[in-house]
Amino acid sequence: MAILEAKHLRKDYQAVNVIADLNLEVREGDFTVLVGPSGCGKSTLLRMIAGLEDITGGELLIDGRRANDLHPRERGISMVFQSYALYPHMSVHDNIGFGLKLEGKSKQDITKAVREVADTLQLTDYLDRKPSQLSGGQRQRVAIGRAIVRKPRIILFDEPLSNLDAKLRVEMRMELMKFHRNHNITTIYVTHDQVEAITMADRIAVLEKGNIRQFDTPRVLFDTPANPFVASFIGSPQMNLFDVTAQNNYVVKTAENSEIRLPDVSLALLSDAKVIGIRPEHLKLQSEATGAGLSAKVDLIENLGDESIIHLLAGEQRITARSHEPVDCQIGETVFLGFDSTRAHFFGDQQNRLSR
Amino acid sequence: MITTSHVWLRRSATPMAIAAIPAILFILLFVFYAGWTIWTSFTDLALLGRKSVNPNFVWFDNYIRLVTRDGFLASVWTTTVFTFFSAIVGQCGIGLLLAILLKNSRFKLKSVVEFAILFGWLAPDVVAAFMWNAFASSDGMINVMILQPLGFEKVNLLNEYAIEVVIIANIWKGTAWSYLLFSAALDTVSKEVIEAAYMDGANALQRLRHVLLPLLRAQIATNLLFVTIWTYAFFSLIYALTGGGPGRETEVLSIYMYKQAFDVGKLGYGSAVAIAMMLIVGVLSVFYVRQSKDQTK
Repeated sequence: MAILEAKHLRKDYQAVNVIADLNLEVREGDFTVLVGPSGCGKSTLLRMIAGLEDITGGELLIDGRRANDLHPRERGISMVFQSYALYPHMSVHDNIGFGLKLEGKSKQDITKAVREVADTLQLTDYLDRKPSQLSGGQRQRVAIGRAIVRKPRIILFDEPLSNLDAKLRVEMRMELMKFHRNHNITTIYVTHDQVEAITMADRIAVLEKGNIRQFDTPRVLFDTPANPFVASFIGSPQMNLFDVTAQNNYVVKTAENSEIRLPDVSLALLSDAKVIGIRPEHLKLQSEATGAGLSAKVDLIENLGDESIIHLLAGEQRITARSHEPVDCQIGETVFLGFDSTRAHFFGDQQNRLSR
Repeated sequence: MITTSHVWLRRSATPMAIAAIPAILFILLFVFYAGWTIWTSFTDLALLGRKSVNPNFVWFDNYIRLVTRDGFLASVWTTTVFTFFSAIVGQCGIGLLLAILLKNSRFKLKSVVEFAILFGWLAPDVVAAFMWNAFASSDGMINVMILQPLGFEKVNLLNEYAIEVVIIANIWKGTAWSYLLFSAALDTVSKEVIEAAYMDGANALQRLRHVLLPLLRAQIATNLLFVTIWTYAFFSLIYALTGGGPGRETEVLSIYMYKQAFDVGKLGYGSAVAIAMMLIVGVLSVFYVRQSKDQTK
């Protein structure tokens, strides 16, 4: 059942339209990630859900009830901020208990509730400390503690890992996943990092320019992206996208005048295709022009130990290939690229995905 | 000699020593005057007559006189009232309030208010005094343009409400400083922390009391220290506006000291007043400095 529903949501800042007409359904207990490049409106959407931004148009329903004009508390929503936004002058205990204190709860009730939360987050030994005396991970747990102590229906995260170094980020990611598994609170999580999105989410909404371009499970997003934007956004290194025009005899021409041969794809599909996508790991380097017959010059080879990323140039078009086997080509050398056409993604002139 | 581990400092020791000479001379001058004032406060040095050449060392007579005669204690009270209402409540309180209210306000409104309060700050004290005189005297603007047209009797505000007028004049004069300082301080407060308090359910007053004020505590204490010191020793505006009168109603310590030292001519006693002022401000400062310690550690 949908716990949160956005219907035709709109947001304007004076004359600037940020979100035009957005629809979203979040299921109870799900870990939903909003992902997109900076400026796509994901944080604005989250802040509208939180109640930190006014909603210009449309409806926000929480548990089926219109929530547009409700205070965050009445929405049953709490939030973990990017900087964690702990109260620096308060102890961990007071940080977590602040909301309860404002509700007018008695000291005993607050202490009891704070202790309960601190136990589940392993913060019991730190209750008297100030935020400045805590590590990054402990601060995140305090921020989560503050968010869950009032037992919210939905908890929001605004890029909570983006300030951390790489190692801590991975640790915190795992902690967050464990936390969600143990507590099962409906979570909406904003990030610009598609790796975070794929690893943590039950379902991902990919945003671009205030629109949700696709909303589905990480698997579906990765295997069958609905449009070139999602195709290039999900997966690292990015999927290679070729703007193509159909020629005869199962051949398409790219914008750079390279030819790609696709003998086992239907002619109908080829004639409709405007963009062909192929992931780097599905490209094979060959010394002879068999298969697709696409040729390119090796520009750079990144050796990552267990795999190599090969950057190639076909005219001006950048192509990336990924190989788990040792690469035996030289920089500047011209190689041929082959791929299994069943691995290719085809998109039509409306940026729509074409089924095979 | 400069002993430091900083190579760049050590290598420029000679030019720095030369550059420090004026500063050292000034420090010596300050120390000399401070010492002279302390010494004078133990004598009956006078401005004119025999005692101006041959003063007697009178031990604590001047200080005993401070507490046994009326003048000084009355001035302490006047100065305290003046400082409390014009600096602490007025400049600091209104400055903070304006800074918070204008923080997110529209550009135009903010510019207008900032111009208005900066105008008061930039006006020289004596000019401000003349303006307030023109404003509040019996033929001044308030009487001519407001009270009389409404059918009220003329009131000489500078006589009837002297302390109130100097307090308001000083608030008008000095609020800009506190406003500017608090505006800058507010920029250091994380917006997310305030939003977090909002999400936690704090209303505007609760956000102010539980989050904003504690976070600005150090800056508020520092500012209170500044404005208290300045206001406790403030002279020119009051002297030019009321001369300490009517009677002795607005005779703050600085005016009392000036009159004792240069009108009456008792330099020794005047020096004792100056030292006493310094001690009072010093005690207040200790209190403020304690408050300004970082509470987040």
